[in-house]
Amino acid sequence: MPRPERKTITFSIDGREVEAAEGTMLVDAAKLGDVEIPVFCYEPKLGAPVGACRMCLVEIEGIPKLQAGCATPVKDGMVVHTQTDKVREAQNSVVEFLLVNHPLDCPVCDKGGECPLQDISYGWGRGRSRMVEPKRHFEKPLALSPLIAIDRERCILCYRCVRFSQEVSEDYQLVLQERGAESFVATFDGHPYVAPFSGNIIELCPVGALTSQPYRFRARPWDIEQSGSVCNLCPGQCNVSYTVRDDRVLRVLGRDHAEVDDGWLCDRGRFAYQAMHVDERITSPMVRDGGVLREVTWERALEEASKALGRAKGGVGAIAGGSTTNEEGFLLQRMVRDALGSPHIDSRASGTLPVGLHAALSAPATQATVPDVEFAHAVLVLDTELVDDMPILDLRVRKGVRRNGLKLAVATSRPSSLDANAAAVARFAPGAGEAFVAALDAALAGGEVAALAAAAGAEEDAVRALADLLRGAGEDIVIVWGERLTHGERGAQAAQALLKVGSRLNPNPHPGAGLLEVPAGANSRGLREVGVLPGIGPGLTAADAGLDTPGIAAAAAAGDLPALYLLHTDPLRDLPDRATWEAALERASTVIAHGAFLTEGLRDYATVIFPTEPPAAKEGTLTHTDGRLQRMRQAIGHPGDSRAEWQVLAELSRRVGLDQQVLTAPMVFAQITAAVPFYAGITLDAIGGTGVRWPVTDAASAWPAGDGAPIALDAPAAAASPNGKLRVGTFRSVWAAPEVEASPALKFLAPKQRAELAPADAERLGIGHGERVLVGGVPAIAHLRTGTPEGSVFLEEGIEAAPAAAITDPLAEVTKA
Amino acid sequence: MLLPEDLDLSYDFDTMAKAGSMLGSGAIIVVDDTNKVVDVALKLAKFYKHESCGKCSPCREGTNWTVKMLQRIDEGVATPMDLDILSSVQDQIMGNCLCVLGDAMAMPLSSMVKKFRGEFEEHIELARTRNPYPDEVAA
Repeated sequence: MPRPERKTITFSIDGREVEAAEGTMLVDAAKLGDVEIPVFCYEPKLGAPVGACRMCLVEIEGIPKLQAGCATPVKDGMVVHTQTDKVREAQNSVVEFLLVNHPLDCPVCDKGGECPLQDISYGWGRGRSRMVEPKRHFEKPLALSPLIAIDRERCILCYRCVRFSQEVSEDYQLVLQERGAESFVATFDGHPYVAPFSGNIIELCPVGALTSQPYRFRARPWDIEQSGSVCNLCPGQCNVSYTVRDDRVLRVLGRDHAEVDDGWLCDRGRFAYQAMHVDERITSPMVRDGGVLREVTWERALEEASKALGRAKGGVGAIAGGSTTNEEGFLLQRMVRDALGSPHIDSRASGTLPVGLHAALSAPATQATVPDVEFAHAVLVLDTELVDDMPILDLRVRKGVRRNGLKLAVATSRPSSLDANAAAVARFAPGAGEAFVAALDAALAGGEVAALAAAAGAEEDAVRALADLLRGAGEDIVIVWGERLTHGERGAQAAQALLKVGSRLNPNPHPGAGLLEVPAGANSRGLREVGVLPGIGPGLTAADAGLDTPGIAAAAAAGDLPALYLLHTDPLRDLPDRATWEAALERASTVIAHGAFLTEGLRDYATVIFPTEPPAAKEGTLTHTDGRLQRMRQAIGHPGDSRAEWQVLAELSRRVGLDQQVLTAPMVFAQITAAVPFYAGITLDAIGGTGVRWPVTDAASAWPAGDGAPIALDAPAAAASPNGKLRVGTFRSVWAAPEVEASPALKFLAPKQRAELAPADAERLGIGHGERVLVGGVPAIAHLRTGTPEGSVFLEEGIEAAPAAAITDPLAEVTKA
Repeated sequence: MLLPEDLDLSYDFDTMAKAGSMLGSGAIIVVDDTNKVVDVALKLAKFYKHESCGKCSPCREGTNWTVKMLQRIDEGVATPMDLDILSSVQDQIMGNCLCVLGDAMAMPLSSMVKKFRGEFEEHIELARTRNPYPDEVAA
């Protein structure tokens, strides 16, 4: 449903005339007149107000009783008083009632000093207690989950956490048990509250009832400083604020940005900060010496690296991982291209797209933004599992469906966590995305669907239902598509089919509708735009043709590329086709890597390792998938011997013969805006704390014209026919990341390999839930999941002990181990 | 709460409200003089504490606190000053809740304290003499 239009009205509060949008709740409208109305339960992010705490009572002329300011929308001519005796008496009363059962243990409470209950008691309470009776007691603190401690005595029963669980993250785990004064917050079944977004309730809690287990008793508010930055763990790029004490990050809080994260964080973003300060982290350069990795001086490491690169010259293949900043990507591509003369550089996992397709897929005119997802008439989630690939967008979709009447269509291979919210769901065979999109295109055009649906391993009726839903929903349709759709050999054809579907659903491009990519890496879009692609330079200009990621692997395995440069990526963990990569890493005489942890590929094959600085020590820019340039800002010093990586790249580049003339990170950004025409004129100051969307700047006209979708699509590749085997699909869980394994608090969530099977297939194969199986030789635990399409098995990527990337065949046999 | 002298009032919303009572659902509870007013108050308060859903704080905490205070009165750990707090708490509940359940307790209780203050004070005094530790609130 499109954004509602609201007219401006005038109302009076404490004698001031204030203008506000009609329908704004009184507590929010009051702020426009510099009047503060205290609240506990009200939090607009949670949806409709409940008016439960009664802290916000105000007097409105013409209404005899006091009204809850959080649940009363302003009307034209309304006269409101917040400073009368009657109101003050009511505020005093509510504070007194809330303190009836709240222990006065502020000196030992984590919230003390940053606690709304303290502030409001001080500002709106009587300051004296008349209560002499015993307060209620609970066992405390209890572990609500390994991440969250609950102190039920401190709880003022504001319902915020319960509403979050029920109405925002929709995990439906938290409830209020019992009734009246006996109420307490708990999970419905008494199990720990483990969910991808659980940490948000810590920040929502207006008292010290819910505290972070890893942060408990680590600091008081006067010991700490807050430092704003952007999370670079996934393409969501949520705005965060690091809590720093003595140059260590102790906590991560959200830094609400309505157009990026809507004020929420996932638990990975919230708790993985611990991985910045663990012993396993690489903090000094290493060189393989006599077969063993040893810590060495920077001079030695830079010398080894520059000598090896100088020897290899055009024989260098470079790959940048998704967390690389624009600055690092830009310096890398200049070093590889201009200093070493090698065109072999990529940032995508597989599948080369011509520049025209990149241009068309991200064209400003057909680009949707993150808030568009919430206000569209319909959203198609295509080939991506949002809760894993870009968790924060999952909440945005749920919000649209719940609050704005958004119609949701989901088309994926693996059952999605959004299925329950969807009005139409279609499944297709793993890897048959192209055929599915072609089938959808045919259905939208009213053409022949059956053959294409069969090629995609999808049900014809489901494809038609999806098409009908999207066609009839309205003019604002957003397609949220996963980058993996355009991976593989036929990625370009899939992209063309996607563009065709996009233009059918949005024949007249307009704001509020269009395509929104879910990239594979946090800064994938930025890396493409600063030229970390084979054959495509900064600003999507033409560059010498080079090998893409699979090409680099194959060439290195064949002995044609003697040196590999791996910036923030371990191919054995992050990339498909493990066997080729093992051969490539084995064969290459030099493997230079930037890494934070000694993951398999680095541990066994790297010859030079430069430490990756922790995200909180990083300075640089990222480009969000909707074109927003955001700044990562340095919050802590570089731990150990580590250095800023842009500096390392610049120094290395100088040593191999190209002085890139950069003394600071902002100087690199200035070079980027000079080289990328559609970033022209954007300054770091303008980006500031909230970012700049370049597609709405004047420079956007410099975006190259995209290739229009072809009139006819060629016949898509059909999904492999199972023939007694199962089709293998893979997915990457939000928890499959080295920083999760390295964070003491999150370690328990690090996934083990599991094979998701349809119950019918499992029965046929005689496999029970929880049994050990081998999927094409990869060991896994069988996980029977209703909704998994028959004939498919799904494995998790990024698990070192049982790598799904070892399977290259689209079909595999599943046997009992 | 109405006294014998109020028996001639007409049975409608406005008159009842004016007399400091509430017609509500129209039910009448008749309490004869063999009952102690503190017992009646406690029974009433316990009922509303049990019925309170717990959503809004004045009702949830107000009914809960009222019960605790009345129990204290009954157990001989109160002073007549507590009656002022008791009726002030009823005022704090009245009109501030999400629904009228809290009001439905606060209104009769506050009129009980007002109209039977003497009996409350007598009860407090008697209970105190029975209690060997009249100044210690049980933790």
